[in-house]
Amino acid sequence: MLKYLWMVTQDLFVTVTLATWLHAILGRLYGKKGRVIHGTGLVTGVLSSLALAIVKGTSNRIISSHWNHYIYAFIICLTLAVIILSLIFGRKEEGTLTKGGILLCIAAAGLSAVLIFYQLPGVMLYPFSFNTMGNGYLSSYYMVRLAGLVLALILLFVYSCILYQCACHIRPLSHVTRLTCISAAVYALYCFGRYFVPWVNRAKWLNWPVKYNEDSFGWIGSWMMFTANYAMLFIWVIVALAALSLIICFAQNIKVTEPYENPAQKRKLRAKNRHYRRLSCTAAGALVIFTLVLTLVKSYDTRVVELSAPESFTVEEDRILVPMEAVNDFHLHRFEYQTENGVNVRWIVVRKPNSASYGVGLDACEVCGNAGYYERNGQVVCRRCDVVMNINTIGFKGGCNPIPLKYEVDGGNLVFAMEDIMAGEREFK
Amino acid sequence: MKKFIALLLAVMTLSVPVTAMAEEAGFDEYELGVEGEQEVGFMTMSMVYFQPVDMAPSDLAAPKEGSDLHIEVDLTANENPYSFPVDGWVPYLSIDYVIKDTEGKEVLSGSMMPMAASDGPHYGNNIALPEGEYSITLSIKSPAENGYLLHVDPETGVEADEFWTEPLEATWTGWKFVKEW
Repeated sequence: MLKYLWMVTQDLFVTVTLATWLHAILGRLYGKKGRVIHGTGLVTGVLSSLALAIVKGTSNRIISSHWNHYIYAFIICLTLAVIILSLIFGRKEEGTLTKGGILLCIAAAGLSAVLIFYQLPGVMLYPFSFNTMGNGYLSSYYMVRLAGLVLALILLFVYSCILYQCACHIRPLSHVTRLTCISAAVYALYCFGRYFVPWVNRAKWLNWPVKYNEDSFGWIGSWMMFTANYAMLFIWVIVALAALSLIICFAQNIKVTEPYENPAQKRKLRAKNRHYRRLSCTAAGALVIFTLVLTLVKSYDTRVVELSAPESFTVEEDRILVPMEAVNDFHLHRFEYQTENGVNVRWIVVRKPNSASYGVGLDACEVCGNAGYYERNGQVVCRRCDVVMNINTIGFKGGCNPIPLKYEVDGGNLVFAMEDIMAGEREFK
Repeated sequence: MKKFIALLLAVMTLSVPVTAMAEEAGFDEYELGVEGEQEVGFMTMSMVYFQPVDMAPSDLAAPKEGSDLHIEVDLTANENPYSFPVDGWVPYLSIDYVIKDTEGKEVLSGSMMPMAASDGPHYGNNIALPEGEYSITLSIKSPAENGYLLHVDPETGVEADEFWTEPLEATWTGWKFVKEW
């Protein structure tokens, strides 16, 4: 659940913020006509995303890197167009749609459509990529993941509605326009770095004559890697700008500044101010939630789980004895033996449910190496790939299962031959 | 006006599947590291990566969900004493990888699995790795470790008496991993 909560938030936050601001600006500049043209861009973006998601999900005809390459170019060009056109034609709230205004509306609608088209198809395809461990679409595995995705979408929708109201209320309009243009420019800079990914990675499809070379084109490679290493920085800048817009909205509604003729009018204006202050605080609350989701929740979800401490056992000549009573509680137990070569060989023991037998194997698998396993809610989970193991198949050979380790039961002990432990040395070198 | 908007919507939306149909089917592999192809023992090897993929049986490899990329080792045999066909794929290898960041700190290690894609057999796996610059070192153990035998009698035997005993190693450096899918 948490995974899709932060992933969807991270994917869509910038798109939602920019599209909301652009809708508000065009509505204030050109009224219903501006909103209709921008709305057309939003609907086109959503429908195109749906079409792309369907084609992508049902065929191998979509090579995302090719499409993204052109999408970045569109975002950069349309951002420049929006900034220039808004400087020329977006200064006054005239309410009438001029020829220049039509150009601004089309550029802004195009930018919103492309931003949506860039991010939304991936989000639409998330429900088809959930790993349900073979439990199907009605399982709790699936529903929990879906709940995270839906919760993020609901939060973003509510945030967008409130941000729109605040953006429509901030005076003068140029404050909102500036914040939007700066945010779009920040995102365009990010896209500029990503634009060169195929080149730096020497993708064959571009067939560019100039190959990437650190000496000659280092700054582009450096910028690309900056956008890769600090992708979140661009989002945080836009979060800060969104917060600034809410602070402006709140500050403009602390006192009644409009003229009024009687106490009743003053009370009405104060009520309106209170309404916008509450809206600002609610949107700020949403920003705080997003910040928490993208920091605490994300770091919790992507944390590296520490392995539990190894437990004690007895070495008797060339045998290792683990008392059965110490591992009979159906929980995961870890043991570690340091070989003469200084290699720590780890193995795990878990008693199988409704059985007197034990799942025993090295604390390593052929797929993920010696990452190890840990216990989560009574399940044994691979620390690297997060795959939940079927406890009943632990001890069987293959794939994500722990590499089997032979054992015998003797005198109330699980007995391991030293040579079998030594044979596991190669997995932990 | 309404008709124009409806027409615009339809044209822009339909353009997605139409353009997709015009695009050549397949997937795009990114070269990994600055070294490109390397001669490793009797093999020519190169490494590529692309988006995480679904594999079957699903419990034999890391799942697509939670992975950031799929790495592959493409290899072909050159002239060799083991009678592997020249320019052919070499089966039964055990290939382990260690990925390090630019400061030389190990960030990930694991094993490649043998598998086949539409472009042929290879060794690969889905892995979870943040964007950044890395090097990757492969340790290639001989097919003997997986129970692959050699004929060694004079009549039918191959040129070599045994496989290599120490793992072959190869490193690709300056790998700028940026997730673009």
